[in-house]
Amino acid sequence: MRLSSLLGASVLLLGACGSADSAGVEQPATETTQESSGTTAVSPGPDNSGEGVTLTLVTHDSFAVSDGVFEAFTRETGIGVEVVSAGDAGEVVARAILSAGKPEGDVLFGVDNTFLQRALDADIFEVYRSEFLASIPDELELDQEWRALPIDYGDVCVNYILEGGLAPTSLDQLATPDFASQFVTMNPESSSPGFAFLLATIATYGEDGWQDYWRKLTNGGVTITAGWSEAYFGEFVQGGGDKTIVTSYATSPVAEVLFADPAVATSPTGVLTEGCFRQIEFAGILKGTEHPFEAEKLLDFMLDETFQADIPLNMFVFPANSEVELPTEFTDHAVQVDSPLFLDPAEIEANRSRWTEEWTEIVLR
Amino acid sequence: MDRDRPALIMSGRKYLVSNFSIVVPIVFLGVMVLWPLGAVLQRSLSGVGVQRVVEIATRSSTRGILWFTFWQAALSTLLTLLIGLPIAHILARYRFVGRSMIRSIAVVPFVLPTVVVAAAFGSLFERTGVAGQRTVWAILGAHVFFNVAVVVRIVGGYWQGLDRSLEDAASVLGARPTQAFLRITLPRLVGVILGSGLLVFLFSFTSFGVILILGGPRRATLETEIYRYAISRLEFDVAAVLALIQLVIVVVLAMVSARFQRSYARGEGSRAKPRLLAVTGLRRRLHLGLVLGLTLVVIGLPLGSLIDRSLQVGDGYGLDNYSNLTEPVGLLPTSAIRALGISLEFAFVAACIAGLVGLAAAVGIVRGGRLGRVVEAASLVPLGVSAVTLGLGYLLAFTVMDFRRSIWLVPLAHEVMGLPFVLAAVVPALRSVDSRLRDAASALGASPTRIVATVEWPLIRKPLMTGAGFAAAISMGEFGATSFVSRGKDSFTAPLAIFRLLSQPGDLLRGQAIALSVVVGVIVAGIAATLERQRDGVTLL
Amino acid sequence: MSNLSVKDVSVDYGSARALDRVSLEVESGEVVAVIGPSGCGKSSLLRAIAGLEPLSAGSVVLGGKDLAGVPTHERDLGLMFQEHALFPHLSVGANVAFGLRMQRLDRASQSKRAEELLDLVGLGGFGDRGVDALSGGEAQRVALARALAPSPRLLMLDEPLGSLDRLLRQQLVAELRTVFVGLGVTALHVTHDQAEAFALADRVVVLREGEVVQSGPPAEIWREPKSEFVARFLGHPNLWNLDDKVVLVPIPAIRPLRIVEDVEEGIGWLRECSVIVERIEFREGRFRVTARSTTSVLCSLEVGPVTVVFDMGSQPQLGGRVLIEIVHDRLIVL
Repeated sequence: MRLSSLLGASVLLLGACGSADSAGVEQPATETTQESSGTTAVSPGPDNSGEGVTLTLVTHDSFAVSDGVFEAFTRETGIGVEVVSAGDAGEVVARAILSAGKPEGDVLFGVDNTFLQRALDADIFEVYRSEFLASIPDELELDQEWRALPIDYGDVCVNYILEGGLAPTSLDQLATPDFASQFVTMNPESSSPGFAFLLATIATYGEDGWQDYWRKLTNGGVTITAGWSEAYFGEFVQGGGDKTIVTSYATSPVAEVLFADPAVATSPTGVLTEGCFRQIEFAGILKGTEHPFEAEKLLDFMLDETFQADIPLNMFVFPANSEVELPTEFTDHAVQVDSPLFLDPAEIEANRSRWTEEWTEIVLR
Repeated sequence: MDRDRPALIMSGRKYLVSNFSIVVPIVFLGVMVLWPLGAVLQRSLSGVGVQRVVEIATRSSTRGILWFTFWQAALSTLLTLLIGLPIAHILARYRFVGRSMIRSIAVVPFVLPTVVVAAAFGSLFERTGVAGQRTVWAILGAHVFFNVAVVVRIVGGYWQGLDRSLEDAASVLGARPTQAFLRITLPRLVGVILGSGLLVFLFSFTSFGVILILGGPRRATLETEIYRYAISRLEFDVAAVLALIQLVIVVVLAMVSARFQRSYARGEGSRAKPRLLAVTGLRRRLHLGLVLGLTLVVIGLPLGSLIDRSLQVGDGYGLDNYSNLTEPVGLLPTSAIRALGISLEFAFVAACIAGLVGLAAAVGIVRGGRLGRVVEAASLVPLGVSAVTLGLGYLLAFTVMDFRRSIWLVPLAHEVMGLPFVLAAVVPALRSVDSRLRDAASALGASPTRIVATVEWPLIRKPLMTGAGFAAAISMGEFGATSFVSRGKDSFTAPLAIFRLLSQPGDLLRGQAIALSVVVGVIVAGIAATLERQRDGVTLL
Repeated sequence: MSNLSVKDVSVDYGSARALDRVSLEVESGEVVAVIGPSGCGKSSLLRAIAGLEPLSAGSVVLGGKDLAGVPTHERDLGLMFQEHALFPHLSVGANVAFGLRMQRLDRASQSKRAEELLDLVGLGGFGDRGVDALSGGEAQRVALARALAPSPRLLMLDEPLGSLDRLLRQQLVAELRTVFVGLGVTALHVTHDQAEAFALADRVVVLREGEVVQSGPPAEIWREPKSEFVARFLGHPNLWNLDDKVVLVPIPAIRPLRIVEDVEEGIGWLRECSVIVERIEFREGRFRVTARSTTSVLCSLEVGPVTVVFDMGSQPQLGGRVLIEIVHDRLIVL
């Protein structure tokens, strides 16, 4: 509906411009407008018991959900949901902290365990101990005070091409020149999986050992890019580059199969299951919301099966709810990491700057 | 000097018109630029002592970053001018097949997403065997590729309007072609070259993706550092000091450039409809051939390689990537086509507002006065400060009526970025309106409104369209600021879709992303061509 | 010695022919005016001679040297443009001195010569002014001074007075003639205004659609136009179609016999006078003219379908009729 008012105003502007055809831009048909407002903000129906509240879910650019999922929530509770996204996970947290007290929305989704402590320190979340946490494995519940509730998780792992390249079997082997020269990873300061891989090496080799590991990688000729897209689509063979090993996700093979062109039966890429850092994404109720009660219902919904089952094929991560059945694409092609690596969020937050600075010294200078 | 002022200002209702013309841009820039900037700086620097600010500003790392930011931007600007001016020249003076097509296509690089261009550059480097990636040269090359359109279009458009008989006169008086160019043409272009050069400089000065992707991980500029400190490290005070440095540099540059532009502004004696030169003789053919070759290398090759990639399907070629654009992809909140539609709407709104506000601002600026200078400097700020700063500023400032989530925010943010382009194109044209033309019209009994309609409007109509076209192009291609503005599905633009498609593995996604980039490029070229098509009998009033 | 010789020159713009095999000679010290309606190729001729437009055919020889392959800036010409084409970023003095600067004359000589020329065109002391502050007439004088400053072998003028008002034009024509004669300038002057051409030139060349149709001294061309086109273009009023031929009746060939009240043959109605017409009435299918005459009077008379212009010789009688006589042997059949 806001869109149609925008269009109405543009028509006015058009008139003011003097000649209607001066911009040469085709106006979209009205039906498109209606369709879009239908999918954007799910407004509560008149026959529902809810007070007609529409919640705003603040999230990052990678958030995706199937059509009809939030509609189900609205039908059930009478509460509408509007999704608002801005930037990547780091930006979402920075924005939330900067606008603490005057939040952009009611619920925030998309803080991962590398940023969790930062969000908790800034005290942006209300406490909410949802009963649906029962279906969530305990090891995902990193916040013992239930301000940030785990929604999904994924593992950042080294991927490699199955044919035409060397398959690394361990992190140690990866650092040898034959492998390192074929390996592309990302700058931990500008890339979330890049940072996760750095954390994986810190978790593996310890506070005093990871620097040597990176020196070996650097001497072996590792390639560093700013972000995942440039690595995967610019340097990695699958995207047209010439490197055969890349930092990506344990679920990347799923996308490789799902979005292959022409279709393939199995992924051309494999995953090194050692040295995988687990990223967990959390959601929480933003302090300052005018609808804490409805926000709690939304969090419940996000932990419940409908939403959880929708997660894998939209965001290519695993649902936190262990009772949800995974889609066959996931069971067939995603790699299960048996012993993922963790680091305490508080430790990550305390050392982030020092680690990335040391990393920069070792790898980039 | 009153006689140099446009009739738009000299009208009987002088104060009303001139005040209105200056109030509109001031309100716009105040709300969309100065307020959010003030909000974010105030929030980030409150409680931070002067000592700390000085300490941050004088750190050796800050100085190093500032130095690199500055020289890479200066060198990028210089190279862009060196390559853009010859292209602007042939487009302004020669008649040849494909001329208008080149004019339209030149804008395309301007709107392409950095990550896609980097891929195109990458594959180009691979094919040609040039080891260019991850060096300063790659940064400079990409900046030239992205920004050459600014010089080609804005300088070229102005150049075409310049009376060619002056060069003829110089030549008859014994000036060799180079002398005629240096002594007669160049001095008259200084204003518009400075204006467009400043835009290129600001773009290079605040470029983000190019530095990160093509510069390699070692390169840092003020822009990337502001992002790093504000987002990765949450050291808002450091980010704010760097943003403050950016702001000061932009304002100083804008003021210096404006001063130069004013002192170089001259009325042109004649506005006879310029006739394009036929390309005859070995000399001209050679010249044209060389410049066309240059154009091909700088613009054609990367675009060609992009189109080539968009047509690659599996091991062969086909249009599948394009037909796939209509298919919904789980990753995107809407289909790629719908995102394209949203981008078009925003581009239209942004171009219209930028055109109207820009026209008012241009009049206010040419009129002079302190407010005019303030508008001139303030209009450049959105290009010269980082998207992070402005984006966070919106977040903090626009809590009123929840404007920070308004669907208007995205096109308005695009509009303020397009405004400088409208000004860069219109202000020199308005300044060059010969006072004699106005006097003559006035002597013939024309009312001020008639003078605007018959003397000034025909001369600024085309530059205005060029500027509005740029505003539309910026809106179609803008990613940085857009990604910082909170959006729902209704403001999911095509560049966001392209980035989103490149966030998961798979040829299908990559193919769609590149195809979508090509479609955006084609649309922008189309808009540029339509906006500039010469139509007679169109008047303002 | 023939100074400028244009032989069979053709100029094409794409597929459109602007000049078709034009030949033309300008003697040293001679002032030649090329006249013709707009779009007849006058400007193209000058541009071709200057080397600003490539020749499709023919040759341009200046001072015995073929100019083919000589670039414009080495041709040593002067060219004055209709819109004066002054350099807006240079002062009046710098404009005038531009050609001298290109000749690498030293600065002192440059400014001395520029001052001389500004004096010559009556703008002494204007050297430091900006060109946007000049009036139209002043700008054209500066353009003249600029073109003359390097002492070109040939001065070309492209409708130099076209943008000025009538009074200023008459004044400048006189000034130009004085300057040309005074300096012994060889000049080729292009205009669509025959009065301007007749006043300035030693010889007039009439151009039509890129072709020379007549050439000769002004008086001769006026007296004996060789075609209806030339006659019409020069503004001869009395062109009659008689027996499939166009006959030019020169004004001296027509004499008013008397002014009468009522005559049957060869009588027309007094319609207009070049004196001040105060009132024209059309009543009962006839014109009545009320006019206030001065001395010698050219009047026009409607005789059947044609209008005759003739010299009344005396004051026309208001509303009167007139009988005219045409001297047959002075008719020119075109």
